[in-house]
Amino acid sequence: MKPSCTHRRLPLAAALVAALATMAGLPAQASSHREAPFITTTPKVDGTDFYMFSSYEPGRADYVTLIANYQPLQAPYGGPNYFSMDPNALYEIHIDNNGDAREDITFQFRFRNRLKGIELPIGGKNVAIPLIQAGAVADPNAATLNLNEQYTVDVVRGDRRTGQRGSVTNAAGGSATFDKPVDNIGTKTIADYAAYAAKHVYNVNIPGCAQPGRLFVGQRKEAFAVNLGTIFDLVNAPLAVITDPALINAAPNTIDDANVSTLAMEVHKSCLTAGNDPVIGGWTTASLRQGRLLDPSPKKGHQASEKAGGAWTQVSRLGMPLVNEVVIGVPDKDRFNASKPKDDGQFADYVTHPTLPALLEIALNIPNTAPKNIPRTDLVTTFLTGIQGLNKPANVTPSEMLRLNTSIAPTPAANQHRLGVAGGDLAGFPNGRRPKDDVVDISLVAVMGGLCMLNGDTNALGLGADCKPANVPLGNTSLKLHDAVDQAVVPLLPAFPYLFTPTPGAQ
Amino acid sequence: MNKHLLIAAAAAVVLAACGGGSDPPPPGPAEAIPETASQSSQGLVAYLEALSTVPADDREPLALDRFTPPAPEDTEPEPLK
Repeated sequence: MKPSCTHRRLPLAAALVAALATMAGLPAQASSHREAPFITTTPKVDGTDFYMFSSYEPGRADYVTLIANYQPLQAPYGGPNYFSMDPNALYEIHIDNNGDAREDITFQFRFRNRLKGIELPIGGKNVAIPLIQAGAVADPNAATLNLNEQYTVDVVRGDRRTGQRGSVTNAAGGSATFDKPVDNIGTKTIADYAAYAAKHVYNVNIPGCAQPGRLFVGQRKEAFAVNLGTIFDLVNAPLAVITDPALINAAPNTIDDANVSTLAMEVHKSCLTAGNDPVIGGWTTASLRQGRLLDPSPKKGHQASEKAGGAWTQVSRLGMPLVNEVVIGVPDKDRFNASKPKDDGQFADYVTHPTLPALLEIALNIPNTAPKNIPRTDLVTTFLTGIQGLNKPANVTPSEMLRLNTSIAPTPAANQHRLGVAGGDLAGFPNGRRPKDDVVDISLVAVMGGLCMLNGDTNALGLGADCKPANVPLGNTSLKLHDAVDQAVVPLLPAFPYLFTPTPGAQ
Repeated sequence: MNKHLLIAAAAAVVLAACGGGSDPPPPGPAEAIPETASQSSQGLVAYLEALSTVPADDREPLALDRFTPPAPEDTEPEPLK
């Protein structure tokens, strides 16, 4: 398929990249891992990354892949309970297909963790085992698996709470309940985890969609690469290193050994778009019941210490990467996680008057290097609406979400540029986000004014007359910033669900 | 001291015998979960809000055997006071 956006629009797209990244801003870190005070108390509903892209698996170009990752920084050896999803939570992926900053389609994931209660005869008594497996595991819901995670997926059209609801069903057999593979405990328990996990990829029928989709939920290797510890230690790296393009892979990926829990769906684009507008916006949220009482005498069972009730109450929100980490101020981080895109006006100051450049001045001891075009119309224009000619909806209400032009053909995996649009690859970030897109480096460039270097003295990209090189003290150095960790070398799969096999707990 | 206690007890007996005074006050939120907490989200949230204001460092937790929280799918969260 021919891209609807031509390469002559590339500079504009590059600007967008920078802008979106700028929002996401500054020092690289895990995209949204432990980013707000409250969410650190509920890691099972901590959304870490959201990806949305036209499928680049051969033969799937007309499909859109949606990936929402939860539960950050999983140590692969974190047994014996590992990282089951929360049965008292609601995980959602939302799509806005008319630009009004409200969800039009929502995929809802609910988990049921079924404890089989495997017992062993000990001295004449049957006694429950203390582990979630009692032997090797090779197939879904294996008899040796003591805790079998199952889940359902509903699609809701309209308001996420009151809209029309239907169940996603297995194309083979029609069941609305799916098995989630147990986490990668180790090679003695699961000899071939890739093959085992592949048995949990389902072809599914989605209510309201003419074409079947695909579904996978399970543990994956963390796909986000970042110099995490260094970044949060006041960017504890020599300026000469992080401004040298030859050193983009000079440091180890801090979280290379971590795993994450993935919710992945592949849906035909015709089922996500509305009318003639090919642009969709997407984000993920997680919610808990509003009230919870802890039981001083839990019943036998699994995760039986609480009784939760009341309406679903959102506690995690993630669209564009890095926003709540390095754009939103600490007093508003919990508020942001509870917010909806339609209400994003309340966070506008963080975009128009970002603190990140000033923090970099402090961290890197480079005074007076923050861009001077305040308010940052470049960031507002590009981040909250999408870029004209690339991924801006025909009618748009400014709001923070990941936006994808589904009419732009996907770039084959081998040809993808890690800088996405900024690298001339219009199928990459910020036109959606693929696992390979180095949103950290793009963000660093944007936050320090790279966007305005591209806008030039003629406001070529429409980012504002003050968004020009004279207001970028770092000049061309702003375009060279990186975190010394290369996103593009992270191992990925060439096909759905794209994220790599999780690291085993032992081998 | 003991004399005062006796007087108070006697007064209580007299009041009870006369059917005097109003019905005993309902138990506080740290003493029992009201039925309203199981009947609606509003009732649950009202109870939890009340519970959060009660100093209870000297109490044991309440049993939840008869508590079934409401779990609606089609409502928004209740605003907190």
